[in-house]
Amino acid sequence: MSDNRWLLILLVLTLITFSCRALPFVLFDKKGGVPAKVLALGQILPYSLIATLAIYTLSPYLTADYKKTVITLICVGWTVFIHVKKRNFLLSIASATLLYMLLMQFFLLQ
Amino acid sequence: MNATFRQAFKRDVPVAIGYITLAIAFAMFFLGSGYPWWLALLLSLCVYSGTLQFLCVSFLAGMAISEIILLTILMNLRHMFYGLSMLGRYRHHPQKLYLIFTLTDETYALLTSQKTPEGLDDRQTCLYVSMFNHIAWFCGTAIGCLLYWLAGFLPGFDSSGIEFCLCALFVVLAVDQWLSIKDHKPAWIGILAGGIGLFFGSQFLLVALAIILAGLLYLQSQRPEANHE
Repeated sequence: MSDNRWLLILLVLTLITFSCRALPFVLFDKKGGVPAKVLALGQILPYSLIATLAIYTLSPYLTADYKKTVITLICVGWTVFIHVKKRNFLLSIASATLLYMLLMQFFLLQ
Repeated sequence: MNATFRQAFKRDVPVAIGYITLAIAFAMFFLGSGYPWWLALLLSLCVYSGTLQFLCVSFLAGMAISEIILLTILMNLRHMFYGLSMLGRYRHHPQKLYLIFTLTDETYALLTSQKTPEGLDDRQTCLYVSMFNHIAWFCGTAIGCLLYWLAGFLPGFDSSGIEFCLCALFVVLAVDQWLSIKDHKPAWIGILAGGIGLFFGSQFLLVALAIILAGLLYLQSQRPEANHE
């Protein structure tokens, strides 16, 4: 049963992603204007969306368990700091994940 | 091995390395969340979108299909703009469908940031770069599955906490976007939407997305003219 749900999700993601990538080729390949409103919205949408998703992915970590919340906030702080400093995606993600693994295995899993 | 192939390969190396490492992280995270390796490989082969594949763990965990569809569309809206700037170069290309399918953020960035040198075939370059990236992403995923399997034999290796890499990825993306633009209003709307969403439990994303759309439409209505080019 779960297998079917997995495959359905795989299909949905595949079709939608491909359709979005193909849409401009279908709509605008003939000479014609792209609505300026659509263009402008699409340009700023990612900036809002990614910020929301960052908070969304963090939400399971911000719990009543204050230790977990504190560890999470420390790791988020580190992530922001190291990325502003070095702007190296891999370094930021790898070091933050490692830091979280260490802290949570040391303080949460006893 | 013609000159176009070599040039495309050389140009692609940094992105390919980035793809392989990110795909390794994805596979380890995905398997660590309890899903099978074949699903990781299928996602990398068919969906081929980093952020979506990382989010896929939330999707699989029991999100409603309607919510998945909405979020996937919004996440993919940026691809509209990639396509727009490739219309001319991909017109009548023999492998057009494959090129559209593989038009990821990095492929787009690579193909638009540098011009194909004189004397080399631009159409072939587009195809090679797209193909190299797709292969790198798929191979990285396979390597990640293998590493996850091998890590099981390491005595004392405990992968708990590795799921934090999803948060790290999105925090890094958000910080990077923040640094790359002067106007922080859209980001603030996103932060506000996320903050409010926290109070809505399983309705988090629906509430947050509604706030974002309303906020951005309001921002746009405040602008005198939306005349970008």
